[in-house]
Amino acid sequence: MPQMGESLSEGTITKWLKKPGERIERDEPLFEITTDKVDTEVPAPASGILERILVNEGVTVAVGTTVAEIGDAAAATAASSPPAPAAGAGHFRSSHEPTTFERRGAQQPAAPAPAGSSSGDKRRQLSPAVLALAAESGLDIQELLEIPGSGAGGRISRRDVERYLREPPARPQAAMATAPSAIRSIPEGPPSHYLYQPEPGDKLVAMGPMRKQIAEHMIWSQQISAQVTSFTECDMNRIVRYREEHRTRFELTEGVPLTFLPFVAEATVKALKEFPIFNASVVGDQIALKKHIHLGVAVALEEGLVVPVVANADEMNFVGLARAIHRLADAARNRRLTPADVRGATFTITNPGMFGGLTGTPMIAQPQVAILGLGAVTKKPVVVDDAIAIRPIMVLALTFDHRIIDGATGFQFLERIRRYLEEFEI
Amino acid sequence: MAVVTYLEAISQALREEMRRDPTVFLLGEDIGVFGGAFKVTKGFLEEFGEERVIDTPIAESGFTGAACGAAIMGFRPVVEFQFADFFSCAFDQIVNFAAKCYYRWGIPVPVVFRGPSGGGFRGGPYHSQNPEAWFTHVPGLKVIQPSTPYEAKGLLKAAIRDNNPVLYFEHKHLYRRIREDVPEEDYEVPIGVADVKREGRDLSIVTYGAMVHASLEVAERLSKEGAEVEIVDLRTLTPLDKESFLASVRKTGRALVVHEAHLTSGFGGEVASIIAEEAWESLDAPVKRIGSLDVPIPFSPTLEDAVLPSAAKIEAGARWLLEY
Repeated sequence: MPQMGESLSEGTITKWLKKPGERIERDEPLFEITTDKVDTEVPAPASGILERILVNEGVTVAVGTTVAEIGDAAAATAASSPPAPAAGAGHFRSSHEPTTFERRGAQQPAAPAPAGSSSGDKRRQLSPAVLALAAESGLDIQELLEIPGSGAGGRISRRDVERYLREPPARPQAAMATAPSAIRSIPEGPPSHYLYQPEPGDKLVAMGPMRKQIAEHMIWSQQISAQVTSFTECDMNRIVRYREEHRTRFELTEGVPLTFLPFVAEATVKALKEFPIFNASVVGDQIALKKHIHLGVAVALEEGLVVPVVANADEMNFVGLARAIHRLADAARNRRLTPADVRGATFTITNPGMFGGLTGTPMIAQPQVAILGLGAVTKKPVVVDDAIAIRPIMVLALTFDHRIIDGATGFQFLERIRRYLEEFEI
Repeated sequence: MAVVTYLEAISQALREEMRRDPTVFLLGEDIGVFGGAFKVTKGFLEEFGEERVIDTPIAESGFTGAACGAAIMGFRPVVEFQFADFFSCAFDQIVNFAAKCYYRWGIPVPVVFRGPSGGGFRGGPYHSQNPEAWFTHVPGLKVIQPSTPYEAKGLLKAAIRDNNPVLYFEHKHLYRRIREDVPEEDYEVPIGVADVKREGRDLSIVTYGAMVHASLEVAERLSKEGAEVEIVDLRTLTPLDKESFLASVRKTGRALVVHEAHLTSGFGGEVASIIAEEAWESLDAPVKRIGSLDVPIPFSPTLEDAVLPSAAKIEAGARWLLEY
C-alpha cells in the first residue's frame, strides 16, 4: 500500500486490475485504491507474473502493507512499497531496538559508567537533593559518605539516603560543639565553667567572618602542630646603610618603596631552597616537600590579619619580590585581594615589629610547618671584634612544627637567614 | 460525545467558532475549494462562503499581513499555513507586527496562526520541522501545542477567543493516528496551563506535542520494571506553566525534557534552565534533554528514523536518569 500523502496512514483497495497468474509489466496499473485524500491507480513496481493477491478488494490496510506478490515463474518475490513503521491507534511510533547510530549519538545521554570505576569520585558527587536531605536529617558529611550508594558508579542517591534514614545501622553519635556559632573548636568543647557568661553592662560585639575564621584557624593550628619557637638576633647594619643610600633612587626607578621586607624575603627564599623541610606539609605519615615557594606575607588590617601570597617567590629576584610584596600589601589595605591572592602559601613571614616590640612567638598557618616573625629594628650596643659598637638589631623568631623539624635544624635554618641578612650584598 | 481524530477535532473547533462568531474567518492556501491540504476545512467553503474561507496565493508574508490588518480592524482571522515550516516566510509580519502591535499602539491583534508541524512521514526538510522555538523567544506571542484531540479542539477555541496573536502547532503525524471522545458541547482548554498526563514518583518527563505519546509508551514499559514515570504535557509553551513541572521535579528529583524539535536551542533548553535554577535543591541527577539531531530532517526513512527522537531514545534517556 503506497503512501499517497504526508498524513495518510492507510488506504483501501477498491479494485484489482489483474488476476493471479496474469503477466504484468512494470508501471502498468495493477490495482486501484481510495484514501482520505485521493483515489488513484497504483502501477506495478516490477515486471513479472502476479503470483498472489494478499489483500482483497474493499479491505483497508496500513501504508506499507504488502498487498500482492509479483514473481517470475520460478520464484515469488514480494512486491511491496518500502516498509514504514506499523501504526496502531493511539501509538505514535512502535518501539525498536536502538540502532548503532542512536547509541553513538552524541546528543543522547551517555550510558552510565560501570559500577566500581572511579568509584571514589562518584561517591563524593553529592547531589543537591542528597545534601538537602542530609541537612534536614542532621547527617554530617562523614556519615553521609559512609552510606552505600546504588547509583551509577556507586553514587549515593537520594533514595539511598532515604533508605538509610529508615533503617540506620547503629550510628555513633557525632559530638556537637557547645557553641552554636560558626567556630568549630575541638569536639566535646571545654567544661562550661571555663566559658564566660556575659553580664549586664557588657558590650557584646559580634565577630565578623574574618575574625571567626582566624579564631577557628588558630585553635586548630595549636591542635595540629607541635609548635616551638627559636630566636636569634640579626645585625641589620648593612641593610640599613644600603637602604639609606639607595631607597630614594630605588623608589624612583622601580616605583615601589624599599622596605625591610624584600631583604628578609630574599634571604628567606635562599634559605628555604637549602632547607626544603621548612617548605613542606605533613600528609598523614608522609612529608610533602613542595616544588615551589609561595611566600605568605602578613598584613595587619583593622578587622584582622590577612596573608596575601607571593606566588613562585623562588623564581623572583630582589626587585621582583619588592614589587610583588608592595602590590599585595597595597591590595590588602584597599580590600582588593582576590581569593587566589590568599591561597597556597608554603611559608609565611610576619612583621609585628613594624608596630614596635622586641619579638614574639608567631603561630603557624596551616597546613604550613613554619613561620618567621620579625621584631622591630632597634639600635643596640653589641660586641664587634671585642669592642662595643652601636648596631641596628632585629630579633628573628622562627616557629616551626616539631613533628618534622627538630631543634637543631630549626636553629640551623634560622642561622642561615641571619647570615644572609647580615652579609647582604645586592 | 463522539470519538474523533485529532484532525477532526481541529475541524470541529474551527466550524463551531465560525458559527458562533461572525468575525472569525479563515485564510490559507488550498483551504477553500480543495478543503485544505490535510482536509481540515473540507466543506467549509460550502457552509461559510468565500468571504469567510479565503484561498490565498502562495504568499505567506502577504496573507499574514492581511490577516493582521483584519485583526486590528476587529476581525478574528485564523490563518492556516500549509506547513509550520513556512512560518518563516511570514516571520517579519508575525514577529515585528503581530507580536508588538499591542505593545506599541495599544491595538490588539487577535489572530491565530495554525501550523501543521512535525515529521515522521518522510516529508523531508521543508515539511517536517518543529519551529516553535523561533517564536517562544518573542514577547507578545502565545505559542501552544496540543497533544490530544480533546485539547486540540479546546485549545484552538481558546486561541480564537484570545485577544493575543497565537501560534497553534498541530502535529500532522497525530492528525489521523490519535482518536478519542470529544464533547460536542462548547468547552475550552485554558492556554497557559500544563497537564499531568501520567503520575509517577521516580522520574519527570516534561514534554509536549507528539512526544507525549512516545513518552507514555516508555512510561508503560518502565512501569513493568517498577519505575513510575510522571509525564507533564506543557500544552502551552508561552506563557509557560513552570510550576507544573517544577512541582513534578521537586517530587521526583530527576528530569528528562523531550521534544521533537532540534535539540540545540530548542525549547527544552528553557525548561531545563528553569529546572536547574528553581528546583536545584531537589535535583538528584543532571537535567537531560532529548530532541532531534541537529541536521535538516531527511527524506530517507532510515535516516529520518535515526534523526527524530523515538520511544527507544526516550527510554534510553529515562533509564540513564533512573540508574544515575
